[in-house]
Amino acid sequence: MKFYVNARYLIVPIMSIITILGVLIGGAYAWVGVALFGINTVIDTLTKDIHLRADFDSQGESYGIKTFQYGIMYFMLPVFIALQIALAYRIFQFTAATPVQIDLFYGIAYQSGISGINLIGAVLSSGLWAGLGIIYGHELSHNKKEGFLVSRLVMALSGASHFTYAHVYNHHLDLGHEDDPATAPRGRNMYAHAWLSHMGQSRYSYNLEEGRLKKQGKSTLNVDNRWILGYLYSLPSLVLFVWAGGLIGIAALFAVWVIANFLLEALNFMGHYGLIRTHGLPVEHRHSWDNDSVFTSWFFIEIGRQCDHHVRGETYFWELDDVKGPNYGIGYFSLFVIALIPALFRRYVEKHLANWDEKYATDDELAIAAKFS
Amino acid sequence: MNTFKALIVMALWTTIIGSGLYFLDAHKNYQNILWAGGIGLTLLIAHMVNMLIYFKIAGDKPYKWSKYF
Repeated sequence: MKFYVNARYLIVPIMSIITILGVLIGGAYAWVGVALFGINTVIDTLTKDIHLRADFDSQGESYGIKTFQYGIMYFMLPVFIALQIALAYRIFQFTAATPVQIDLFYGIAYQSGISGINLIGAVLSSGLWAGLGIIYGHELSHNKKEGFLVSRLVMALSGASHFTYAHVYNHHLDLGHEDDPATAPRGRNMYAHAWLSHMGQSRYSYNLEEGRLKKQGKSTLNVDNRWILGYLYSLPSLVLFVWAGGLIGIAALFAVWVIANFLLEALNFMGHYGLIRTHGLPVEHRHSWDNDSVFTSWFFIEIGRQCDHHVRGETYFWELDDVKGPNYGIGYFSLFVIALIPALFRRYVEKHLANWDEKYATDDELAIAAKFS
Repeated sequence: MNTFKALIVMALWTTIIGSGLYFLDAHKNYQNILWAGGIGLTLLIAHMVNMLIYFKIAGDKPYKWSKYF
């Protein structure tokens, strides 16, 4: 049981490594990351009705092994760095016009050089998996020790190091209210939310540092400014892609950052869309949507158990459980595809919001909801 | 409207930086690691300034809920 509980969270690490190998082998394999995303969407949809509870032994202790799970999360930092290096290597080959031919590396055939179409595949694969990998940046942001720095570094690979502070000190404290840019109000679509939430969280992080440094009598323009420092963590990625491909390299990294941040904000969008909390009152299970079908739970290391996570933010992901909060009943991959089409998403979510209004909302929350319905 | 204004100013600022790098022949020297470092740092600073431009012009826009957005 212990092995099964811990091994089931290895889907993303294994698939990330497969994506890196696909980029390195080249040819049509550069698209493997995109193909995996599609396959995952099918699996998630087919298994949408399977919902499991967290596993505990007879003493009520979790089967999760903290050292193992943290080891994997820390291990993902070099994995995501390797993903960027693999993509940069392909961009370098493309701009250097390396002939496209089959070569051998210790007996393994790979394509040296890359065509334009397969380079697009490599960029899309890298962007999607950098975005999916943000789940580790999220989980580690709740760690008050070295994990917090690892979170900042993982997020910096997507140009979003500000997320770590904004998530813990803004999103978790101001959830379900206008003060939280990561909560999407009713009527907003996922595309608008991605932009507003990203900019809002960065602004929160900037204001936080501006206020902190002002109290210390220091200028905002300072290396002690953790908003500036967060962006500086992204500098190695920028230098690598500039060196590898000039303008093409910059365009590729920009695409990776846009895709990765879009996926991050999609998770925020799906986790809280349309839910409202009266300012000053405690965050409760009913202020988040659960997405805990079996594949989503294992793939996204239980990030879909938002109801429990937002009430017990310091709880390890493998201990989060179904608390019978609001639940879409389907997984993130399936819901993401629906949310890509705003009109379809609004129709889909209508019955769930009506259910929330009827069963979970207070009168004050309903009054706020009425302004946006 | 403020978002639109911010995007215009951000686009102008990015164009100025991009033109500056072009006139300095950055596109011919980017594979020199010192140039790559300088270009990367310039782009990162340009990105941070873009964020600050947005914060200044768009104000509380990311925090405001409206009926249609």
